Amino acid sequence: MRELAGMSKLQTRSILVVVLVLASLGLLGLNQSGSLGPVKGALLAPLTALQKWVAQTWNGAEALFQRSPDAEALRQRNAELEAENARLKAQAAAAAEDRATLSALSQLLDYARTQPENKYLAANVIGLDSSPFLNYLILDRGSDAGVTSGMSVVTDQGLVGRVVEVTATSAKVQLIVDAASAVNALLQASRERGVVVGQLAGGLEMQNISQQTKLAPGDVVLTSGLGGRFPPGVIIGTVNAVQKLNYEVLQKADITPAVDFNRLEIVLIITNFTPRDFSPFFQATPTAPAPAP
Amino acid sequence: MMTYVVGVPLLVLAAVMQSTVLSHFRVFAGTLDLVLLLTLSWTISGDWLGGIAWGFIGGLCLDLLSGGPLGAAALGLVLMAYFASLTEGRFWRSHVLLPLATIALGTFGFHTLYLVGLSLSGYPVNWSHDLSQVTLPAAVLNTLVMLPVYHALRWVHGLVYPTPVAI
Repeated sequence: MRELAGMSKLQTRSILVVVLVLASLGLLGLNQSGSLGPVKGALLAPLTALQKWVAQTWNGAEALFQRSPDAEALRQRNAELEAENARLKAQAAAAAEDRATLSALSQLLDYARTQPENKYLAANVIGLDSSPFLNYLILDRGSDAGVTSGMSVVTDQGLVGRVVEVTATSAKVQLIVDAASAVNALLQASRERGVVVGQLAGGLEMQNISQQTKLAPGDVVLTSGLGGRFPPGVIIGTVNAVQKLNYEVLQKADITPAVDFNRLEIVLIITNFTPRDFSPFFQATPTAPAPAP
Repeated sequence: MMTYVVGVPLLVLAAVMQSTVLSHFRVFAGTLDLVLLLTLSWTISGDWLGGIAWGFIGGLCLDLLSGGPLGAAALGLVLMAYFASLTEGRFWRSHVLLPLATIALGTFGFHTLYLVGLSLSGYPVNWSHDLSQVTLPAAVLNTLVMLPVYHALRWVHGLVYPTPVAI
């Protein structure tokens, strides 16, 4: 970039930095007020289209790579069949990818059949969060497919998270392992309640469990439905270790998530569960009008 | 103008790759910061103003593909590119390993600014965990790939802005 006439390089650079820093701070402020939704949606649409294509290409290449050692040995022994072998290998990789997708969809379908009260929408995972500090997913379904903010996302294994942002063709999902996530939970055996929060390392911790509750590794943790953000009875994970200190009022437990978040490819969005908004109950009670004189 | 012709598609693709592919490869919790690598490499290749603009564009792309607040990554990348630009090109070309120091320090600076942005937006931040488990491994990963990225972008920079020859 050429410097503006009459200004030194340092001046031009300083002005540019001040302008861009102010623009970034302005965006941060507008983001907090929640008024950037339509702009983000418009900017995100081409990015998610590209992301979908890259994700599909990457999944195909990964499947091809995983099957390559056998094919490589064949190529070495059968040089004359190299071209034919490569073609067959690509077909086999594509078939393996199809089988994996079919298997995942079958499992999801079986799960959906066991939960007839819910309506599901299947979506492909096309991206993870670009920041390593956050745990979000990007799905290839958005408001065009009926997805709205607040919907719960599950797999046949258990709870994945909730939709926090929607554009026409994509949705961002906050995973339950995200550090800002909190899910009201229930221990299946003892029926004791607590809150499952995400850990920065990617795990889960159940907090606010009564000290009297008997906990054991392997106890199943479900969503309780309290708070109205998630449907009740969805598996979150199992107790891995108990953190109990006699001088504390409450105890905690490390939870192993039921879902393997590193291997998510297809998820189900529960479309007929409407999150409840209890915030009006927690607002200050309006004062009664003063009696007329 | 050429800085945007080269930068916008490259940064968009890099942000998408960072979200779609690179986020699967983690050392502890750290991943490769491809957009940071490109921004700093372009800046120290000699396009000081362009590098700062790349930081803003790349940061916006990262912010859009993240659940974090819009503007946090942009702010961090703009400031990192600005700090890298202050030393001018003679410094960077004085030793082949200096770009490695840039990216190592740049990773810590960028992550710190990003975490400040998250913290100001009300997101829970565990500084000791984040800096040791995310930033430190990311700095190592970024340092490992800095030299090829830097030399590739210096080559592109040479094509876009050829050195004037006195006749």
